Amino acid sequence: MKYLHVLLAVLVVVLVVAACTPAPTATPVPPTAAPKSTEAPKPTAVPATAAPVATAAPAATKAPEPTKAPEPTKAPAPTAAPAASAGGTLIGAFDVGPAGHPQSRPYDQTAGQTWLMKIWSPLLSFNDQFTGLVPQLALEWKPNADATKWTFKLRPNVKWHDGSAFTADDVKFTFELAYNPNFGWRNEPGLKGNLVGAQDYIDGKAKEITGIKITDPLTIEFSLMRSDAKLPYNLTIAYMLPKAVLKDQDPAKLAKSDWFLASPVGTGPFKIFKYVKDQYMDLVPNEYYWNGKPKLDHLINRYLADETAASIALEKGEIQFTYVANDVAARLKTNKAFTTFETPSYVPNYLAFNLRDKRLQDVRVRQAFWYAIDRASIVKEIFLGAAYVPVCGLPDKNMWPADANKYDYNPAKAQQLLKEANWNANDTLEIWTYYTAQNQKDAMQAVQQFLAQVGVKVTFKIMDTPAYNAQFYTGEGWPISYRGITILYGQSGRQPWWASDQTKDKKAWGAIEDPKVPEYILAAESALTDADYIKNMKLLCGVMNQNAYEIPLWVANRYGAVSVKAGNFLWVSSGSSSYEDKAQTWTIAP
Amino acid sequence: MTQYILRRLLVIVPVLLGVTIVVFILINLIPGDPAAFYVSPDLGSNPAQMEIVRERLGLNQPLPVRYVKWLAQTLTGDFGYRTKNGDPVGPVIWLRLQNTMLLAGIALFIGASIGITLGVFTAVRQYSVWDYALTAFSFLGIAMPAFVVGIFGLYVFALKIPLFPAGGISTIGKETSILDTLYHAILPAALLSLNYLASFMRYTRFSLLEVLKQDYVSNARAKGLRENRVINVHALRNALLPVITAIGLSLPSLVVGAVFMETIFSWPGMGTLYLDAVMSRDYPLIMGMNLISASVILLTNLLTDITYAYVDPRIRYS
Repeated sequence: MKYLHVLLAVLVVVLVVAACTPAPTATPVPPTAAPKSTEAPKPTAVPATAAPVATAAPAATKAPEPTKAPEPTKAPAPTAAPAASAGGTLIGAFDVGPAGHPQSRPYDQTAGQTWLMKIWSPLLSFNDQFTGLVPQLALEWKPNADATKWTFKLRPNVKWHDGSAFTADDVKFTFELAYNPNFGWRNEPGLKGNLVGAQDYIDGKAKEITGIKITDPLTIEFSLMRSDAKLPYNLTIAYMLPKAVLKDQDPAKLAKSDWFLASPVGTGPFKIFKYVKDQYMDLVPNEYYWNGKPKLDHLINRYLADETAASIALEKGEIQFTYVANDVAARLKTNKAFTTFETPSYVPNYLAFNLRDKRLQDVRVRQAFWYAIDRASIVKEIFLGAAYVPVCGLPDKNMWPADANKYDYNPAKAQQLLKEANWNANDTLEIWTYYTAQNQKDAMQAVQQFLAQVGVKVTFKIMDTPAYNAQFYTGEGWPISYRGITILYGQSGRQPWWASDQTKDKKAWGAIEDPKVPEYILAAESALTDADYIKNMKLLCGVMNQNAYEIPLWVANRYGAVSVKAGNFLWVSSGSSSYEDKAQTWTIAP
Repeated sequence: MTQYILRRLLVIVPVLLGVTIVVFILINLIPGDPAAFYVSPDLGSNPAQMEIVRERLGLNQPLPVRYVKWLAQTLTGDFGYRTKNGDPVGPVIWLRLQNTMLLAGIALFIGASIGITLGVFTAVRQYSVWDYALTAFSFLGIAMPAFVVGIFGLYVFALKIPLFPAGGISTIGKETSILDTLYHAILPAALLSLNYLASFMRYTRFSLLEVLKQDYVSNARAKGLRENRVINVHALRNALLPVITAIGLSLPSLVVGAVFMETIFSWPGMGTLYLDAVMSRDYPLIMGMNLISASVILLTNLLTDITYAYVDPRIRYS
């Protein structure tokens, strides 16, 4: 009996002591100085504006002219290389989440670009500062005079993982496979509506996309129906697929095939070594990689279903990289065993108004909502300052007009506007959302309370994503939605703001019917210079801001943490675009 | 007894049929189109193209036709393919089932063996310090949500006292072995067992205290039997009936899985698979998993009833 007493007491003491002791650093600081934590990029900085001809080749005489690029984003710098080493295994949790698993289907998801770039390559990508485009499989690209035809010169001597040559045939094959309705390009970058012959091909009226023409094995042309000086920006997630390997596959079966996971053949720096379903994907260097064979022996994407568990695995040293929550990042910043990355998500969270609802058709009501919500306080208290407040749904401050109304918190003005608009205080509005993260729920609660203070009753309806998608995109049933969308440089906001073929009435999701909106969208899409594009996007932002067609709430930052054992490692929140992280130079100290 | 078992087995058939019909109707009532997962929202926005996909997935047919087709296919042992990623449903469930049975099996074993032992221990020491301490512990074990226990356990035993791995089912880079798998299973299983342990302890304590008041126990003592024999042979066996019921009701967790613990420990089991199936409106997988779960629940209920007869000879089925 006494023994049991002692045992119990010892167990309690051990647990208490354990909970209070600092974690063992499984990642000792290497002899070289630990790299400094990366500085958070300023909210003003966003993906950026490089010239439309971001190529080695000069533009044709009358081609769109580049303009001076705006201030670049101050993105995180790569980690310093610890004691020079080659080889070794770097394990990261590149796909964390309950529905995730090591992802490698480039046309079937809207995230995971960080991992996809390890296996697959697009023709071009953003650079690691998001200040412009850099060549990947295309060496140079240029438009004709009115940017209705783009010619891409491919990089010579590029080989697939199996050693066969990459050519323009593969590019054409990739686009035709991606646009095959049975295969499905879930994150299609908006090219199909402009690519000559794409719709006929999708509708089964043509066997190939006539707007894609192979000039020679290393040259390919894209013909467009209207000018698009920003086309290359839309191709950063168009990962090339090998025609020789896939041409005889049924697209319907291929779309969900394990081929992408178990035996993918790409042109990226790493190739498949082992795939263990639901557990991890193990890559080894691609000896044919055009930019040099990677230094790591193995790069592994370990699947962890829970972010907290991933953080613990990181601190324990079982993995060397994972995404972390802002509070974890703050804690790890003081730990010399880790380097943290902080970057904007480029995804504004906003309240989308459905103007089909008569209660929301009065601009004064929408503006009152905006004035009523103290966004700055929510960012400070709930997002711990790790977000910034935009003036419209464009995350890029370069696209914000200087005279935009900031709608600073002003409950008195909100009440006055509501009074003028004869707002019925007994009305209750539903706000639909698919967000379930705790900080998002806290933010929703704060929004609810701020609106209640000016006499507006709202309730939140939290739905799972399939149910939300099934209803939201019809444009019916929802008065307001709390959601997120990213409109990066080169895009124009056509679907959310102008017209959508998903809604039943073919209007925009929120049924915005302002003639200035399509005018500026069209002008931005066909702008031949950066200056012209930005000018029109600013005008568009101004219209959205002035009329409060939606309330942009905040653009949150995202965080990653990596062991200091990892050298030259770089991670940036990509905003659903690919970027060059030079993974072939990554190292890991023993 | 044989007749009874056969009769119960025959009853299972219409019940299963009813369960599959109800589940089939319910999942089709939930908003959300599985075709939307198969086609790009942009490409698929063309109604004609969406119809092609629905036709290929068989979603364009009337509900009764789809159900009968699913049933006919299932009766041949073919559960179909996942809508989300094309995986064959049967092998996916089998793979996850093995993982879940291992995790939940260890947890149930730990919970039952220690829980019953502690239940007896506290019952024979009623109102002692041990009784109060372990009763408090059992309340804590029952009340603590799995996600709290899981995160706390992971934090303490994987990070602070790094005895166990921080999730997963095997060590990356090593050949899979039963020892390695057990090493990964022991922490989540131990944490998962806390709830079982606490419940079984409470059931055993309560039931044994009732039995200990019975005349036949006093009689056994009056005969001069040793206390151990009175407790273990005469009292405990009769006190186990409610515990067996509780264990029987816990058996389906061997198949259904433990969503929170599996998620926290990245354990690829049935719980997380079910969550994924529902989130992605994966009808074939939802149907397959429900059929398996319902079958197991019905069979374990039968098993529990049969066990009653063996434990308590007074019970006879006819």
